[in-house]
Amino acid sequence: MRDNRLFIPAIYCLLSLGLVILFFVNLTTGSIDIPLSHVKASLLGAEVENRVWDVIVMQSRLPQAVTALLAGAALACGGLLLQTLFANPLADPSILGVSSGAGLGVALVMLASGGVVGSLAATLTVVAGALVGALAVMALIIALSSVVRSNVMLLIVGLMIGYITSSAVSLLNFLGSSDSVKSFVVWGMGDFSSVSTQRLPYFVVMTLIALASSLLMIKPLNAMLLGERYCRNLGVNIKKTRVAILLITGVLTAVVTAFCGPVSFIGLAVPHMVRLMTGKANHSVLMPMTILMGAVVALLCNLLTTILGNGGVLPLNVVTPLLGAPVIIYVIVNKRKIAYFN
Amino acid sequence: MDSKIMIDCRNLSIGYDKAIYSGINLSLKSGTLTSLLGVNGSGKSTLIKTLCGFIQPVAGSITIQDTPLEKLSSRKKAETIGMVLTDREMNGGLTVYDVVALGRYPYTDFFGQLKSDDRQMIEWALEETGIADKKGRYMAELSDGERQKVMISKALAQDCPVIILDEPTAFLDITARIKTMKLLGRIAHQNNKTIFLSTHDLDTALRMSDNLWLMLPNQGVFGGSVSEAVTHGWVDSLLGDEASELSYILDRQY
Repeated sequence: MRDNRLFIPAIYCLLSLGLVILFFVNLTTGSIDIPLSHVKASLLGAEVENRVWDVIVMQSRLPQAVTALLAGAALACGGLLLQTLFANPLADPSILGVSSGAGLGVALVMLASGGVVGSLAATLTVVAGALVGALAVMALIIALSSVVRSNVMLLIVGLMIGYITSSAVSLLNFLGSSDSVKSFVVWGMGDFSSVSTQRLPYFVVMTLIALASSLLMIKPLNAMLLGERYCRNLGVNIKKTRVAILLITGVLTAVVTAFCGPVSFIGLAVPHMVRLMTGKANHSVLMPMTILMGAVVALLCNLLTTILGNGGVLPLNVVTPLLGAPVIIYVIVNKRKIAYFN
Repeated sequence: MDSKIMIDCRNLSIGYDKAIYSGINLSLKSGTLTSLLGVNGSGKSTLIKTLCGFIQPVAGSITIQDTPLEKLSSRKKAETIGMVLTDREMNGGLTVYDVVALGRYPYTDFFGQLKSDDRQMIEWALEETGIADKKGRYMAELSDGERQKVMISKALAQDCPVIILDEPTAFLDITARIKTMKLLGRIAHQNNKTIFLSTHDLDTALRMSDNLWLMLPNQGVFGGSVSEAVTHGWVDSLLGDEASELSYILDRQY
């Protein structure tokens, strides 16, 4: 075994440092580069000579960076929760169709309301729609998981559910007005910039509550790694724990999906990155570090969308698979050598 | 060490919807190793699940240390019966220490923090089964026999007076089987534990158990010391048509 006494804290420090640096680089980089000193002044609320820069930092880049940070953390955490819940290292809200379910909920709300978003009521309705969609798909998956015993088959069932919801969404688009369709299509490409300063507090509060709740699940999550019967023998209330994990994952996925669109691969890949880096399957390390790593990866992805966008901004889902898919392929190819797969 | 009744079955009927066995009146004492024998599909796991409280008895009662099983809270149950199963889920990435530490689950706080007495218990449990030198290894790196030792250590760390094992020797080779049975016998006798296990391994069960329970379909569940089980002909009944061939061997031993 690696000597973890120094190793784990060192990774924590490194990731935290990376997080801070990436956060500030996100604030300085964009279609206009703004010097760090200026960003600092804006953040501290000091008088700044360039009002435009001030507005860009405070109204656009700061909410976007905060959104990316929290959305990444939430997606990664949701992925980890589902991987442990289904005892399947390839589970993830987007693979199991949970994100598409949330997407269908969002589509129904958006297309019904004619693409109007912005007010608190509208925002909450969209989130509620996403939550209903996400939980409906998860309930379906849970029901099917008692029939479909094979993990791989269950993933394929999840993909199928994803296709069905996508086809329902396409149908809705076909029927919807051009305005509502446009706002939905833009939403569907994934974007950390669509959370305005006004809506940001709701997003922050909702994700933080769900993230904090997931940290409270560390102990039962570890017991779940032993399998259902061992878990029950240790005095874990399996039903309650499952429902709690599902609800938390549902909220995490729904909130992020409602605000940022369906973001792929962060939930699937980040828990693997952390397991590979630390060699730990124990959630007392895995859970907080996955949350931290998710934030770092999302900030990196957000930065890449502006840097690679060459003046414009790339859709988020152009970048996330480029970072995530290689990790998953690596994990599958090296399956036999990786302890947590065996 | 004084031996007292830990688990007592009275007029117990077991099964899922209808009883597959009824009128079971048997008990398990502390400080003894009892093996449950029965052919495939004879209902061994149904009995084990019922004793652990995973499924309800169809009729009759099970009392554990004078408390009815159904009255025990899930936490109290976790502190009374430690289980060892053949389930392998996603534990490959956990270290041996992590797994044994999970045995302390019923005793640790909300976040599962280990206190110094938890750590002492874990170290003791690792030493008892002789797996302490592998405590930093991943479960995935271990042989089946070593995994079994880890799970037995987990049950020891759980600090239960009763340990129930479902086919602990199923995937083991002959030497590992004998070692595991020896280990279980020693734990039962030295630590005054009640150990109950299901097995197909007649020979090792006969040699190393204190008591036998036999599940004979359409006849019932019979229990007693090993020599009683042989002299009453229960072992013969278990073997069915093959009994005559094996009775020669058994006669020589008992």
